[in-house]
Amino acid sequence: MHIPDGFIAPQVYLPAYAAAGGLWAVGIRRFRKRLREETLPVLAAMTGFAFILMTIAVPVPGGTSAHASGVALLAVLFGVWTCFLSVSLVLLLQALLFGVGGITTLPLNALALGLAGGAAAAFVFRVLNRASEKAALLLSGWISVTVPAFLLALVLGVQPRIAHAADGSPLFFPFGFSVTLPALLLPHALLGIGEGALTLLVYRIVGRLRKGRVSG
Amino acid sequence: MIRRALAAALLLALAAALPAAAHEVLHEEATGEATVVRFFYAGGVPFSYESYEVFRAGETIPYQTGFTDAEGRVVFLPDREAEWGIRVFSEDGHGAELTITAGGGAAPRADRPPVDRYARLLAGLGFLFGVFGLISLFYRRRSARSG
Repeated sequence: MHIPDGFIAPQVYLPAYAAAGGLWAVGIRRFRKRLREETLPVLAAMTGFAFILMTIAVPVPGGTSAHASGVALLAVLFGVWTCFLSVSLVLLLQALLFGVGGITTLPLNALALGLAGGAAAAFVFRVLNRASEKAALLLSGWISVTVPAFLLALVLGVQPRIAHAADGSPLFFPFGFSVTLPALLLPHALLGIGEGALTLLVYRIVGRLRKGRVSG
Repeated sequence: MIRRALAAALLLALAAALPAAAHEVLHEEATGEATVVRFFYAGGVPFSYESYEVFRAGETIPYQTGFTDAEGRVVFLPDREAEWGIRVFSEDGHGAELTITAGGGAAPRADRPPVDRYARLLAGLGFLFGVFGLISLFYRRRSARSG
């Protein structure tokens, strides 16, 4: 669901850069304060995992495609700010190496996927984990994909209203909310089921590895 | 007298009907060399039946608009050799924007091949692990200085 370059008006992405820049600075400060060397290898592996997941396009009904993100894993294992920084780095690499997502849209993609998606996943996990770790992981995975889809649908849907020529023709993206909301939410609600299952599976594997209980 | 009046009325009626001829849609057939640009997702699935716009470089009014065909292709006949901007977009925000040189028998150009995609994936992973390696190095030096 990365938004490519050319789809978003400057009056949206420029303030987004300012907001994301400030939040990246906050994130880096918190990361440095909480950094523990023993977590770095796992963080590197999970960030690499998120990078791979985001390059795999999964066909969904309707002829479009979506991708898993690994955001819930990063948020649940390392916290929201570390998740935000890791996902921002992944999105930057994807834009530079694959042309997936854009440079002008980087802050929007990072804020939606890394920060909002991560925060939603961490919150759901914290609330539900007391009752059931399994349910907490499944739902945090699901919400880590649907919240960013909702936010990006709003960002795309508002483009025709805020950026159009004198004759009303849209300058950047032509579809409004009535199109973008179902177009993004429905496939990602489906994909979120897979993301939830993946979050549960990988979390359990990482947990076992950390406790040294992997046989072989 | 009545016949002249009727003849005049008939002529007037015919004259009034002449603008209607402007609404007739005519056609002529021709052959030409088309430019074909195919769009597809990373897995090879065509970007089919999605909206597109073709622009001459520097112009804001599209030269051609439409929907990609079943194979995800945009097909147009450039009226001159020039730079052409093509935008394709779907309702869920997928799409691409590129500039090509077309018209005048310009040579075809393709995105980098799939094998190169795996090399870029490995390069990205290598970069990521390198960044975390540097962070680890930085952390150790900081700990050594403070410890």
